[in-house]
Amino acid sequence: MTTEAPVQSHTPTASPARPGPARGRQLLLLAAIAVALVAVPLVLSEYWVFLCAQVLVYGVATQGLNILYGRTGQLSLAHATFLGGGAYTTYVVITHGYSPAVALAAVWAVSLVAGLVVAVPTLRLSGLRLALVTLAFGELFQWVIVHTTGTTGGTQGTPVDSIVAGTIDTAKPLWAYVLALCFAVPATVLALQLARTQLGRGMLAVRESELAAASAGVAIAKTKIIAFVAAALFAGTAGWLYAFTSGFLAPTDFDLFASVYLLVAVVLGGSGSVLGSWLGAAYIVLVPQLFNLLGYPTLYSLVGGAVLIVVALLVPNGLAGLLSQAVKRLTSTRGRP
Amino acid sequence: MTARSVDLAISYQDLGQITVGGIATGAVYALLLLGVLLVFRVSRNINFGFGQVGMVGAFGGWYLYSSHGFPVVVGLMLATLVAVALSAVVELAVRHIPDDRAGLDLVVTLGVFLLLTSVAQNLVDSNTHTFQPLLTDRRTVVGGVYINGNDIGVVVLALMSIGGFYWLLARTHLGVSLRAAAESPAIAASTGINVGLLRTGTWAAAGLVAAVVAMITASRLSVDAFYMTPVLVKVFIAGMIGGLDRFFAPLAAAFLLGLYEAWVTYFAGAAAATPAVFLLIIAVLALMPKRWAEERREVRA
Repeated sequence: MTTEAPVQSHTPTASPARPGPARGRQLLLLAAIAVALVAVPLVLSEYWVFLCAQVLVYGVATQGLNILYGRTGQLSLAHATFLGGGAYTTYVVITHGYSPAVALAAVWAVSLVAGLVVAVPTLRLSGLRLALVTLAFGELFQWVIVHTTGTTGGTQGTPVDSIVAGTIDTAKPLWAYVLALCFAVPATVLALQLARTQLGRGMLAVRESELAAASAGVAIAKTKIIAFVAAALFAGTAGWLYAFTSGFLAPTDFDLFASVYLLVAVVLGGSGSVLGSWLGAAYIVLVPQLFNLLGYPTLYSLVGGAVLIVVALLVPNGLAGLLSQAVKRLTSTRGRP
Repeated sequence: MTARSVDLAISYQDLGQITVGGIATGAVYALLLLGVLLVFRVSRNINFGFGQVGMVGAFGGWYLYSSHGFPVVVGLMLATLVAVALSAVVELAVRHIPDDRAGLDLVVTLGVFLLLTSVAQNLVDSNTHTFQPLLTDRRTVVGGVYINGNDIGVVVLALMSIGGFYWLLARTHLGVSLRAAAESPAIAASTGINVGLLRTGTWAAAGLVAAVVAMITASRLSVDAFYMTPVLVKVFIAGMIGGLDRFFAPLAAAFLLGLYEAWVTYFAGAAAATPAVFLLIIAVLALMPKRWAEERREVRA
């Protein structure tokens, strides 16, 4: 996985031809990541493999929010709603006897429509107004879940059957991990590729100044709609994975707090950075477990709030930015005579 | 009198009762919105943790008098002081947001929202509690409609506060300084106005408003770590509909929102109130004229 250009670099430029040693370092890094991903189920206990699967699931979701907020600058408090939409659509479809593949197709269709439904009326909005309308969509979703107990399990939540095919069973951490990995890798490649496209650069321009972006020929409305739909599709896919890997759905998994934590993940990791979204996903899955192990499970939300304040104020490029700076310092120190 | 006319009379009484309740709820929204406007007018910031600052005043006060034996008034006053100080501290943090990251105040104050909720849960608990009744529960019957003393109190307080705040902004030297500090901090500072102190003082005053509203809300409903969030969301909805750059329009929207909620509850049932409010905000913000929807500052990553 590559660390992208700093988020605050405001003028997108064409990538120069990469020199040989840099290409070699990239390949080496990719090989190391591949080895680490394969080693997870071989080295770690089932409990930690399950947690790694959850990191992958949330990583897919945070990549979506990163496209919408980090790259396009649209603050959404409905991302957990898109995630929940995917998860509950999966549950409803499979309880009607359809296969997981049909459920995935349904999730993508629902996410596409949900993305459009949220994006089109909010095209003229930004800031608090956009946050509020997306929050309203989230609250409506919560209301629907709570008032459709017969279909969704309501406030009590509902168990979801795992995918079973021969010896494969996603209720087992190993297969949950493999399933999540099958979607996490393409999601990451898509997110990385987006940064290199005209559309990706247009999103950055919209984030910095809609007026300037429009004057440069960027179709503002189209770019925002694509960002919303992409975010919804990523989150919906993560919801499908969540349903099959966690095995249980509850409305509180997709409420306002869940949306704020996804935002914490993107801001902490580094808005606009693909690597940062992964670091953020690891944070929101692993840190609560760390507090659980230490015997202070309720302290996580306290730390979550403090981290959001401190990182937003003092570390604008997040963990990915810090990592990038550290690598640069290291390489420049090595280069000195 | 026929059976039908009796039914209609009962319905009109019910409607009157619901309307009185709606106006009182709208007055609570308007009071809290006054605090939001106060902050927005002076520092152009949105504080998503504003409701939770108020919650600290009410829930903290409840905790002090119910668990630590403080006299009720002392407990509530101490917790209010903490809320006021907290609000000022949030301003000191928000002040450090660089100009080129306009709108980051929303993200930072979302952190404040999470932090204060968590502190309340960890220090006290996550349960719902009955709060100290305020003013009087004595009821007066007017035209068959029961009017609660608390409802009258909150409406009078809201109207007096709105009038007082308008007078402060429009007619006093302090009001002129506040507006100058908001519109052009650099020029205001060059004329000798201590912009930083004004802003911190304004946020502290808003913290006081939040604590008072949180106590009124708690006495009408109950108190816990989360109860102010839906109230604040509705206050923001009124603010967005009326426009935070304006004064009377958002406050009128707050009263109308309270009435709308009450009438929806009456005509469509309690379960319909939540979706009705959120559908309203989606419809209004999506359909309102572009000029009305424009915001001065945008959130950027």
